[in-house]
Amino acid sequence: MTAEAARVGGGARRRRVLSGLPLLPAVAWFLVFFLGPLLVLVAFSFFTFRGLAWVPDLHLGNYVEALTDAGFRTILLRTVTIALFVTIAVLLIAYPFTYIITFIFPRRKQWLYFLVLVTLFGSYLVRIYAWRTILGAEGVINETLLSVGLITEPIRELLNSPLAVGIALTNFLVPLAVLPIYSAMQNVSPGLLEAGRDLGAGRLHLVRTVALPLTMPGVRVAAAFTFIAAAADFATPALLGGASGRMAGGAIAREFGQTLDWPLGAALAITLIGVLVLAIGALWFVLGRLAR
Amino acid sequence: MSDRPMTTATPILGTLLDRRRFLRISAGSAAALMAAGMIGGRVARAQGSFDGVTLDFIGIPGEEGQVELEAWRAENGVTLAATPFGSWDEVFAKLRTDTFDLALVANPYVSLWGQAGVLTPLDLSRLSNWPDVFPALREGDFLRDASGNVYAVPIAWGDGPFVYVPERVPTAPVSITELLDPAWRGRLTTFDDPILIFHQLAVAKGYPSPMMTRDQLAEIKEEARTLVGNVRTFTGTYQDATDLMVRGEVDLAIGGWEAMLGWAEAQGATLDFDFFAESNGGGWCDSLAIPSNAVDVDAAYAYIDQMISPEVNAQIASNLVSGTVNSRSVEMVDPAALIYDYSIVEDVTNPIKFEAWTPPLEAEGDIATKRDWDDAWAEIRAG
Repeated sequence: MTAEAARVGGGARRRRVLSGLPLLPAVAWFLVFFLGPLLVLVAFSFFTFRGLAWVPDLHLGNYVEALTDAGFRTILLRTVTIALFVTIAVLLIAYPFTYIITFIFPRRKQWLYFLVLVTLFGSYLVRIYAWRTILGAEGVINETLLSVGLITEPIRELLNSPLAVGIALTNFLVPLAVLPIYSAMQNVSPGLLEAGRDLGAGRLHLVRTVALPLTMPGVRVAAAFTFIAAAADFATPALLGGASGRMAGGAIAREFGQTLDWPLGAALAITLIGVLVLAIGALWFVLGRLAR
Repeated sequence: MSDRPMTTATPILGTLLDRRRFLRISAGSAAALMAAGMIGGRVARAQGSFDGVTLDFIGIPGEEGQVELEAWRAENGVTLAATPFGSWDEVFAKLRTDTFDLALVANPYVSLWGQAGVLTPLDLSRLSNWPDVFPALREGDFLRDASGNVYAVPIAWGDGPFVYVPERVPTAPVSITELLDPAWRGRLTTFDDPILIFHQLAVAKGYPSPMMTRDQLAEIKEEARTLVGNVRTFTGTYQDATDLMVRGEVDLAIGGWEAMLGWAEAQGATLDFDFFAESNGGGWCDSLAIPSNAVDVDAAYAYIDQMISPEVNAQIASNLVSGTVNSRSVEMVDPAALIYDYSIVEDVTNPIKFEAWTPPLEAEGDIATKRDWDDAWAEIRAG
C-alpha cells in the first residue's frame, strides 16, 4: 500500500470512529442501566432462596419451577390472552385514528397528534384511579344507566374484572401505539393513495393494499410496544382486576416484594421475557401475512 | 358481639384522628424529613449528647417519633432521616441491602427477621423504661428467638378488628368462617397476604397455627380459596379499604383499623368494627429494632428508650389512636384514644395476643413452612 493510500485509509477509519462517538452516551446508558441489571437478574435466577438468604449455588431449579408450576402457567396464559386482546383493540383504534388525522385532516394532523401526546403527560396512577371512579358501582357509567332506567342494580362487573383491566390498558396504550404508526404514515405519499382512487379503488381497499403494507413496520412496533406494556403491567391488574385477575407482573412482584424469593422472581421474569419474545414473533408473522 | 370498648368512641375517633390530622402528621413528618435530607442529613446541630448524629429510620410515617421527639432531638443534636415503605417485605429487603439505625417491625416479623440476622439482639439493660413496659408485651414470644434474645421493643399496639358497613351488614359476623358463605360473594376486601387469612381460618378449626402440618394447611388452603372467591378486590392500605367501603364496592374489610371509621365519617359514610372470635383479642404491635448493620447504636438505644418513656409514648398513643406500651402512660393518653382493652397487655398469662403468626422458615417433620404457606397462597391467587 502506498503512503498516500494508507493516509487516506487512516483518515476514513478516523472519520468512521468519530462518526460513531455520538452513539457512545446511548450505548453507555444501555449497557449500564439495561444490560447490566438484566445480567444481574439472570445471575440471580440461578441462585437458591434458603432461610431468607440468597445462596449462589447455581442450578436450573427456578426455571424448572417457572415452567412446570401450574399456577404460573395459568397466570402466563391469562397474561398473554389479555395482552393479545388489548393489542388488537389498541391497533383497531390507533390505526384508523392515525390514518384519519394523516390523510383526511392533513392540515390539522399536527394539532391532533399533539392532543394524543398530551394524554401521555398525565400520571399513570391517577388515570387508573380515574377508571375506578368511572367503572365503580357508584361510578359515572352505572349512575347514568341507573338514572335512565336501563338497569335497576349497578353492574358490579365493570370494575374489579379482566374487562376493567382491558379497558384501562387500552386507554393507556392507544397513544403509545399512535406514535410509531404516525411516523410510518409520514412515509406514505398521498399521491399513491390518490392514484389508487383515480383507478377506482375504494378507501378500505386502499388502506389494505397500499397504506397497510407501507406502514407495517410502524404497526409492528406499535404491536410490540402495546403487547409488552400490557403483559408486564402489574399496577392496573392489582387496582382494577379484582381478586382473580393476577397477571405475570403481579406474580413476579410478589416474589421480589413479599416472599423475598428473588431467584425465583428472576427466573419468572426471564421466562416471561422469553414468552413475550415468542408471542411478539407470532404476532409479527400474522401482521405480515395480513399486509400481503 | 365482643365485649370490647365500644363504638361510643366512633364519633370521637372522627374528630381525634380524622384523615386530615393523620395526613397532617404524616405529611409534616415526611416534609420535615425530606428537608433534612435535602440539606444533607449529617448537619451538626446544637451541641448535645450525640453531636450531630443522624439516625436512619425505616418504617411507617407517623411512628418514627418525628413530632413526639422533636425537642429531644434538638437537645441532643440528633437528626432523624426516615425512609417510608410500601410493605413489610420491602423493609426486610432494604434492611439487607441498605444501612439503617432504627427499623419499625410488625409483630409477625420480629422473631423471623432476628433469626435471619438483620436485627441485633438488644441489651435491655440500656433501656431504663423497659421495666415499665406492659408485661404481656415485655414477655411476648413474638419479640424473641428460641434462645430468648429480644430483637425489638414495642412502641404501639392495637387490636385486630374487621370493619364493615352497618347499612349493608345489619348483623356482623361472629366467625371468619361465616365469610365462606356464597352470600358474601363479591362483598369482601382484605390484604394480599396469607398470614391473616390462613391463621384465623386455622384457629377457627382448632389447628395450632402457625405450626400447622402440611395436611392441615391443605385443608385451610381450600377454605381460603373459597374465602378469596368472595373477595371483590385486594387492598394495599387501610385508606384504600375505607374508600372501597365508602364507594359501595365492598361491605366488609378483613383486617381493619378503628381509624377507618373516622376517615369514612369525613366522607359522610358510617362504618363500624367488631372482632372475629378467632382473633382472641390479638392484633398488631409495632416495635423498634436496631438493624444488625446500624452505625449509631448508642443513639439508637437512647432514641428507643425515649420512645417508650411515659410522656412520649402517651403522646404517640394519642396521636396514632393506638395502645400505649408503658404502664405509666395510660393516665396521660387522650381519653378518646383509650379504646383498647388493656387486659390484653397487662396479663402475661393471657394467651395468643401478639403471637407471631408467621410459620417457621424451616421445620422438622411435617410442619408447614413459610414457603409452604406462600406456595399455597400463590396457588389460590393464580385463580
